[in-house]
Amino acid sequence: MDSFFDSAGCAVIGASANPSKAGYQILANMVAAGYPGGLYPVNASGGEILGRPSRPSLDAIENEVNLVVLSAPAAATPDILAQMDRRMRKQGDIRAVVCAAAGFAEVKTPEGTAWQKSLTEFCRSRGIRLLGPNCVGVIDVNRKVDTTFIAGITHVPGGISFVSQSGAVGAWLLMNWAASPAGGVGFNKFVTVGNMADVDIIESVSYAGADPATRVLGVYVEGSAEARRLVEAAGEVARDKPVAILKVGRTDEGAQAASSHTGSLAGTDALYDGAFRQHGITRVRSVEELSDVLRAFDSLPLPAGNRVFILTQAGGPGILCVDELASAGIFQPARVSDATKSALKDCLPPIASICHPEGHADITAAAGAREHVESLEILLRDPGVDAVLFITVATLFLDLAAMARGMAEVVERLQGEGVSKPVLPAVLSGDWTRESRGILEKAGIPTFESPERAVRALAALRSYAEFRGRRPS
Amino acid sequence: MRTLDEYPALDLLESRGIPAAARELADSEEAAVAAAARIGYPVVFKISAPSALHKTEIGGVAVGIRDEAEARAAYRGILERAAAAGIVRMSGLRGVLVQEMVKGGVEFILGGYRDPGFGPVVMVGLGGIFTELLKEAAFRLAPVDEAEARRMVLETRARVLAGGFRGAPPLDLGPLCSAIAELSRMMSESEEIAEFDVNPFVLTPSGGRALDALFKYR
Repeated sequence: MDSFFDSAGCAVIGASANPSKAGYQILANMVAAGYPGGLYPVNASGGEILGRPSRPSLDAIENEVNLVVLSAPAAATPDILAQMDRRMRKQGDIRAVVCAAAGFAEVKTPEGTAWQKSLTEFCRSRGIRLLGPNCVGVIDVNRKVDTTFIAGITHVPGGISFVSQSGAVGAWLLMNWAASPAGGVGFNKFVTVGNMADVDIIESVSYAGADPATRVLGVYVEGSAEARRLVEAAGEVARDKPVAILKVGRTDEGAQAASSHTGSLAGTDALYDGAFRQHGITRVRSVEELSDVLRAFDSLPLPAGNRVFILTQAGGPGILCVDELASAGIFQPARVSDATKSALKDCLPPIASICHPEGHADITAAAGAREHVESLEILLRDPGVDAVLFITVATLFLDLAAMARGMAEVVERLQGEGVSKPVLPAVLSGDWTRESRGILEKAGIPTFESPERAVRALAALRSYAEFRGRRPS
Repeated sequence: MRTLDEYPALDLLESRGIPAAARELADSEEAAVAAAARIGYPVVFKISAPSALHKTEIGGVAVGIRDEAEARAAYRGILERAAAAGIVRMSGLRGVLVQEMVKGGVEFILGGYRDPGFGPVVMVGLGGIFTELLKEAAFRLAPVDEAEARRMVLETRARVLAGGFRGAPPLDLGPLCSAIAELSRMMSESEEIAEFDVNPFVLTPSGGRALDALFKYR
């Protein structure tokens, strides 16, 4: 699959000068990504697109072309195959094809199915890898490739790779990230597999997972006839790096009705649940949770234990947090030392409620930026604390930016001293807190929309830490 | 589809080191009485025939048999009801399985089958009425080791019992986890096993025992 990401030149067939066409956006995304190779629009009508002269045919490109993106209608497939055939006879340099066009086997017409078959057979016989048809394409932020037609996304280098059976879900995630408080979430590779005529979801999982630039792998999958191979491929990745999977279609796909009692309890979804747990794979239930969990895994250290401290500036959100921790069922309140309690007492407003109950401090709305930051540092230094959930509601008199800068400074300084614990902030909320959340996120501290979402992300970190801590059997 | 009903299935389990309740097959009333005396009252009688897969439904089970008189009556009653259901010597009736009566303990259901996508899988859930009531079970791809089997059990509400519920001593899950692991190995080693149920597998303070089992082959 390297050939999709490592190319000297890329041709876009079906390129268009019309910004509302995919054939334009693909070129625009390649340009915006800073694609280092030659970029060649191909279409019958000629003219210039984004300052590049378009060629009438693939074989009219003089320079090397290793990657071809197909954006022309599916009906053009016979003509495209003829172009590719001429090029392979003359230059023989095409190594990968991304077929973004739809109208192939997924529409279940005889023509669509035949076009997909001939495209697939052509690629197979020439040793060319094929992605799609009917896919959104690939992105590699580090290698500056973006064959997608997703508008409104930002390329920030990071360690998250995402493999998706749905182009739309992939686009949704990236567009959300572009709108994040820091103006983007760092990622590495993005692969959408579409109809999987050649490259399938399992190969993509193994490939993206094995990439040294991938620190955490996200997967969206609707179903696989080879469920065990899929889980084992993801599980292989999860031995070294976290994997989060959004597996949809939770209603019973027709449990493989064993006639026994066992059968009455079974269902494909229960099998995915069990198989994911067995392989240390985090199962997420929504795109929001997927985003939260991937960001947390990429930026935060894994908690060494299950002792959690809730540092909250407000009562209600703190209780929501306690409730969610209870339903997660894997945490204990962190019991801090008397020295820590008295240090908190010294730094916090007199009305603050400290460790009643254990593992919980309500620093109250009277707490300013300094109190937030100092109490966080005191807690992180306590050896009885494995993770801190940090909840604050923006009051008029709280200097959010100063608080965020102070938190980032504390976390960085303690890491330098070897104190590496996850801090998960929910800075509530909305546009009012956007600037402060941006400061935190740029400093590598992901923020969360709600205390509950922070807890679920922490639960994913903790479960994975527990999995990694198991003795090999 | 070839099946192994209770009598040979429990033997198969024991041959793989999975404990099963003390039992003897009796092909006559006298043999049943003698077997009950050896096992020790109270005992359970169960119709034994390859075709009798739903023993309770045909009235083929008598529990809490306390003495010889009850044993004789139970034997005759079971054979009469079996005959009414068409289960006679000629159709494979072996006689009655005389089994120790296991009192108390916690019942589990263990199962396995072959999923078209996942291949061999195993499951565990709380047994008896809880199977139907909770509709809760933990699944894994076979094979699993004892540690993974323990995590399966702790995913179900049995985790409450494992910690000692309502003053009861904590339940030793060891024999259960060994049984799950061994069954999962059988499932993944033999392509021939299509599905199985061990229902119930009972955990008592003195250990674990399979009371009934069924294997189906491809």
